Amino acid sequence: MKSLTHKSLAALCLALPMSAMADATMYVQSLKAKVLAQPSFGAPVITEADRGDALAVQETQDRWYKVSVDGKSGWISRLVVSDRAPMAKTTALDDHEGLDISARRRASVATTAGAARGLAYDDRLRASQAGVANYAALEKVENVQVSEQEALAFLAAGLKQ
Amino acid sequence: MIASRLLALACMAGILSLGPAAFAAETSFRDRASTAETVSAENVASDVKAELAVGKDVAARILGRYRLFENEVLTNYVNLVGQAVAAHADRPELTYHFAILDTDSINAYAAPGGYIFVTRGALFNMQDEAELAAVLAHEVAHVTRKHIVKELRIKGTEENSAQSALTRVLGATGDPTRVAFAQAVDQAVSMLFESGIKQEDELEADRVGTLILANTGYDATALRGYVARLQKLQGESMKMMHATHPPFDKRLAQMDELIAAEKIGATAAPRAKKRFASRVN
Repeated sequence: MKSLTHKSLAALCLALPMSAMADATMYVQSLKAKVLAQPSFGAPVITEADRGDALAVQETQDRWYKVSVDGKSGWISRLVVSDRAPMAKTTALDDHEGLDISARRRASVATTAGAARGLAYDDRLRASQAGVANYAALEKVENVQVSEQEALAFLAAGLKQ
Repeated sequence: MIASRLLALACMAGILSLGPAAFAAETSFRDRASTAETVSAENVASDVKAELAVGKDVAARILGRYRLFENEVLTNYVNLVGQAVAAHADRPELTYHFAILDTDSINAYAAPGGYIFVTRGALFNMQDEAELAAVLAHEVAHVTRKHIVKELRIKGTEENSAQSALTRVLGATGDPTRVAFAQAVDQAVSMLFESGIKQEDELEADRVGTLILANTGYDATALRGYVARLQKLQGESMKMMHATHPPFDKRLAQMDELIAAEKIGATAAPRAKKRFASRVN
């Protein structure tokens, strides 16, 4: 304690909260994430991190983490990382798991396995026949396939313009 | 010495009290609701499945209200731009779908689970690809921030919960909870077309959308620019936008604040104007 002056203690006070997350590991969720020279999107891009990269947090500042990617130190937005590894692609319920909905203005919580796949077939048929819903059009929407890699190549070409 | 000890104690107290508070404030930016509870990976997966189930029916209702604009070139273009934007956001578990609605009304919609629609009216009022990416990023932000999901409290149930046991008992179709599911779809549709998503959520979608756009690489001032242009438009095509969104002045003011804080726009960024013009017009 003798060696700690008021000044150094005060400095410690300021420094510790900022480095409290220093041991945390964050996983990149987006396919690509910019790593920037300063904690702002207007700063020069140093490199990019990829989805699933596990990054040790060196420092936090507002909406940013300071991390190291490929030996290069820089700042990554908190928006595109999580303390969980990225989830695999998920599809709608395909078994008899329940669904728990407490909709607005509903005091009670209700669950149903019947709703697990969405509305039942006859509900959908009625909605379609009444013109309230259009599942045929939805199928067309779902059938349009663009892969992430195709989209990235398209993006790269566009950004060069 | 005493002063040093007092300072040390004050310091420790500060770390214990201010540290978590400061961190909580930051995490609130990331996910306001989920930080309140610790959930297992299984629960998270179950929640996503429930979200997808609701989203699919909400998307079908949107397509029941407006016809699908079936132009292969434009649909493919919107999907390429949309997928590029979504790839730079934070919910890799979702498969996004993008489509154009055949209406003059200027608007865009996001159903839970990643079903995103932009109207023909909105598309033909854009000036470049950055603006298209910006509108899609705003909608992607509604999905990544789970605005409708949180408002309607849509989630999967735990396998071993009492409610899940009830689920198995009530399992057959025609039970009251099937009605509850249909009501949730109705309420989501009502939010999209009538009451609007909460103002604070719309404003968050503007902020998060702007940041997603920046991470994608387009000029991140594009959303601000598009909204500013819409502010000058009047008439029937803007009726629903006015009814379901916060005042333009409020939206622009908080985007200006974010753009200044992030130092966005100081240097020229890509807008892909030529490519947009070659496809839309």
